[in-house]
Amino acid sequence: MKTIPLTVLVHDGPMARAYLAALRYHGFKPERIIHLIYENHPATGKPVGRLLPKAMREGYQRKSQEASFFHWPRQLKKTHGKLVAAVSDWTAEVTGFSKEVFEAVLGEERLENFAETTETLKITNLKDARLQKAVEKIAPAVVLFTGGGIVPADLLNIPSLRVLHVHPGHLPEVRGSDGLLWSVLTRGRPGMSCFYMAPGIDTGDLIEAIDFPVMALNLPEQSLEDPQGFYRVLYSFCDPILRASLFGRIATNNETFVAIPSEGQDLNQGVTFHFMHEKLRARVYKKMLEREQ
Amino acid sequence: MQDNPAKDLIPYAGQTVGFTETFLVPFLERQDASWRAGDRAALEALCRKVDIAKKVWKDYSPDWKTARVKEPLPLNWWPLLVAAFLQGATQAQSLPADERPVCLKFLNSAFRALDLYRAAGGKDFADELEQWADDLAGREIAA
Repeated sequence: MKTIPLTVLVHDGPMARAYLAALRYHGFKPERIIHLIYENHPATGKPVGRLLPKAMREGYQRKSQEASFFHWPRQLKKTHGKLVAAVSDWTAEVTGFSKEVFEAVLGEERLENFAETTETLKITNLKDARLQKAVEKIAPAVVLFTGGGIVPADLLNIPSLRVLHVHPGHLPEVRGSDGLLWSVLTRGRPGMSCFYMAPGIDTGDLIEAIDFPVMALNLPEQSLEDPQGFYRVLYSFCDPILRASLFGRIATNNETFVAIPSEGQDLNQGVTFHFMHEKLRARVYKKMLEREQ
Repeated sequence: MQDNPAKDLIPYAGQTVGFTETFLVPFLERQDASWRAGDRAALEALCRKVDIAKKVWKDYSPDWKTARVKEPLPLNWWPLLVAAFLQGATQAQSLPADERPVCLKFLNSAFRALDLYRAAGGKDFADELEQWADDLAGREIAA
């Protein structure tokens, strides 16, 4: 396993695990993981384990976070087995990944196994000064951001720090939320783009944007009876793996992570989409089931 | 209603002020297929209000960033807003291929605005507007 000069900022969940497993699939180990532990519950916003003694609190926060972030992939594997299998089969076919990569999204392996060193960092959110300080300390560095949401400009402006991100849409055409679904709807197929993050939504210098083949899931129409389940399966077993596939390719072509060629985006081009309404989602799912003639 | 939404909706909205008067009504009354300066930016700003903030105020500053009248958009003005998204989506169908996806963004906001309208107890024109949105979505996605 070759150690690469990359720090992975782990917002633990299927996405972070997919990146780490994809790097391992390509024979790489990032030099560092910074594992973000949120002091507040991601859904309720309330402090986690507030009443516990300090010594027990961090372990509890970590466990609670793990249970929350991996709840859906673990649950869906039990309750929506056929759907998970069909989505994983298509994703494996287009990425070439082994089943180990798909198993990784369940988060059952110790995070420490994926990197040379792993440190945990307790924060309240991405604006937390502790995160800023921790990242300043490692600069100069190349960091992979594995979460969602907006990274504060102060963090992105740290001198000699480059933050990489993979967006689930072909840039500059598809920006914003639900990129996987909007890509299928507007371009007929999933797309992914890797870029250096900049303040602004998906506006940074573009490293590579790719389109995947048309999705043709081997599923009957009845699979669409639980649209919310379908949505969650896509975001647990397809979106993270496709992102990781592009990132794995970029890591393979740029092992040193020094000066990866990139190009500014035309910010007047493309559309910034918001979360897709259920009515349009239903039409996207139907498209995903269509077989090529 | 599909050919001329303004005909039915503008009188229904009653007295309009703020952006409904300065943007929505003139936009709907024009009934032409071409974009004018500011139309797209205005509709995109309204998409953000509906899709993200899930709140629409009576009026905004010219750049749409600040609420000028911080009172919720009255219920009888919501059909105008939905119709404006749908008219915007229809107009976007004549844009060059690389800009045309904005049609689906406006349609998305039309569906969301309808949800908000219904959740607030709005019923008038809701079914007709939804039918219009469904038809438009069907045609656009098949195109």
